[in-house]
Amino acid sequence: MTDTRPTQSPTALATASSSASNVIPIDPSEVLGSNFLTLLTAVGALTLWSAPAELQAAAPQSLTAPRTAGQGVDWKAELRARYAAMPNAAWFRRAHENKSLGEAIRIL
Amino acid sequence: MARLVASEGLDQGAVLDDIPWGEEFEENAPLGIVLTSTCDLEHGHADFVILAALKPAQAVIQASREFRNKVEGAAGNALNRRPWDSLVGLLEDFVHNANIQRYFFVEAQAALGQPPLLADFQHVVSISLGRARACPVLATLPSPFREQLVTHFAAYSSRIGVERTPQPEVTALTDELADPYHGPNGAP
Repeated sequence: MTDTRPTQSPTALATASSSASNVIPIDPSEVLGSNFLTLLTAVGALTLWSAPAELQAAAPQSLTAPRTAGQGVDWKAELRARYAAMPNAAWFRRAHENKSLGEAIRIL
Repeated sequence: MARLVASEGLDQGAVLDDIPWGEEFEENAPLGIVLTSTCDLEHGHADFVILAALKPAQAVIQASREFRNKVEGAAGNALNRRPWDSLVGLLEDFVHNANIQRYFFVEAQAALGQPPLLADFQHVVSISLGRARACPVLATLPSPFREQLVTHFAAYSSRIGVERTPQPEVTALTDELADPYHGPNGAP
């Protein structure tokens, strides 16, 4: 995903702020000085926001979105499809194919 | 029967999605059911949450050695009376959770729209409480079945391997206990 939002330099932001009648003017040198960490954080956030698609694709499969939204996606159907495919997953076959169900302890 | 119901709270018996099982399990990752005690979660004594994987019951059972042995020799899908009764006995034990073994049966149709599931006590993971709170809760296992689930887990985890008694000695004991009744050949 690419960030297409318009960007402004800190100086431009400070100038725009000072031109408003009901705000305290900000010295551009202060923005670049004492608030430098804030600026770094903002740049970092923007970098993450436009993270490569492969990073976003690595996020675990989730039913959260359709479930909380409650519309659009049938999460139970999604879950059924996942479980229907599970026996074909390599890890499932390794764990269960021709394995014993285990010694049982009888409940009286 | 242990039947899942709708719920959104993190508690013992809660069914969670998005569990970090590890890279190997990302393909069709299973849901997990919380084994950690309610009181530990309620009183803030738990920093970590233990979960057991929920697997599709039919696939697990039918892939097993026991199931395959029972259907071996069947003509097509038709079993004779005795093998069928034996198979049904095995399956009923699962449905009723009559035995403590590796798996715990839960019915999931109403809450998850799923065929029956098995909690696998060999496939467990411990994750931080914060991570668990970030996982969506899809359903829960109500009392007293959640306690039964954990009792089975504890019993399964604490089994002690003992030597099996030699068969001749077992046969002598069963003959003694069955007396005066005996097998079809007259002799024990």
